[in-house]
Amino acid sequence: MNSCLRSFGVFASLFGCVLSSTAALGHSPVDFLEVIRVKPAQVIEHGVETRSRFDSRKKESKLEGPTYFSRGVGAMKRAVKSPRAYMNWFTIKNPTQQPKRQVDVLDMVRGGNSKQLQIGSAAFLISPSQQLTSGAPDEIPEGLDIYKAYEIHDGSSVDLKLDIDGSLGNGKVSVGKPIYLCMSSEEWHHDETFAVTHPNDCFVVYEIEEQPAVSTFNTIDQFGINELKGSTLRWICVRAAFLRDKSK
Amino acid sequence: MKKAFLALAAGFMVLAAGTQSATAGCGTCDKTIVENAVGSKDFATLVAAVKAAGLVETLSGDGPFTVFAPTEAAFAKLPKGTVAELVKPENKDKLVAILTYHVVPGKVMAKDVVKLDGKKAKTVQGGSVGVKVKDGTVSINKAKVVKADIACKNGVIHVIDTVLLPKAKKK
Repeated sequence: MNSCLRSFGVFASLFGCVLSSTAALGHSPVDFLEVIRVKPAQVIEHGVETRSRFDSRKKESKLEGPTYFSRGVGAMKRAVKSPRAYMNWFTIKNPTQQPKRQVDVLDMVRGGNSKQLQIGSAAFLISPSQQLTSGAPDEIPEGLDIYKAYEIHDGSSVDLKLDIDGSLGNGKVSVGKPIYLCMSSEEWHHDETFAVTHPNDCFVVYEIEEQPAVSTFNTIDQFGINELKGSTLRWICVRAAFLRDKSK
Repeated sequence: MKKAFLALAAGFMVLAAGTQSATAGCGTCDKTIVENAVGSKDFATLVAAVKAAGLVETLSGDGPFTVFAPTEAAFAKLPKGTVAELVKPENKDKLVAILTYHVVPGKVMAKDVVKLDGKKAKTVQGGSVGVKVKDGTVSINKAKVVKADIACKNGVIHVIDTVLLPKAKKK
């Protein structure tokens, strides 16, 4: 009877863990995004003010880009959750030096065994965009915020073969080290304010084997219309949940 | 005649450049539509035309306005002598009608322009321009938008590659 109760206790706590993880990962409209290096027809150089959970006050970020473009893909036998999820990446030209901080993040690739990451300064600002084809473009899916991509300093490689259904069709790619943690950020651009809808939703960006991804994307974002010529598939963003900042 | 106006526009540009303040971040949003047009060599003919039409003060006002601004290449597509003819004082009404056909009341950013696919937008001139999104490009009548969302203090500029010509009013 005792062992039966103990088993039930273990099961209940495991179930609780799974439930809380699922809830923590529940808001994002996309599980995986492929990240493609691009060359824009119009290079945008623009300043905006931003504040993420790691900034004590809003700061001006001088942006240049888009340097990367990402879009929702299917992976790990999960179909693409929102094919309308597009993001344009802008290099932050004046990154504020941040102290290195230890954070706990739960992502879909590493799971609960390896949650700790050490992060540094923000290298990119990632803005939701819409793809222009014919007709009025689809709305940006709810739950996609503006993100700042913070460099990860101590991420150990996951050495995983991931099946991805994206630009290159359906195939396995080798996933390596986590390199950026994308945290949602408030942004002020002219008279517009972009709020954070889900502060604990984030993405961990992993290196993958570089592969050619030659295609053209016509996008519209907060800086206007642009034509982006893709060259290489570089990274994959994996949905994650921010658990805590251990430096506090 | 066109040369004279270009020279005038260039002079105006030098004068205006001297009075522009450095801006953090945006670079265009603390200037009016006219100041931003003057600051770009791609709008020399447009600026000259705006001056000839007496619209500088209007487009420097509070607005807000959305201006579809034709580039130099757009004006070059017009039959030879058209611009020189239009800027003559006796053709001022015609010039005003053409220029105001490029202006829509309000600040309509690109994300809102594309929502108008298949619809029309009423211009300050009184006529309407059609908006079309096809194969990744946005068109206003037959003009392609080549750059969008140049934010200004009193509105926004979208750059187009063809001059928009309103339909002649029936007498």
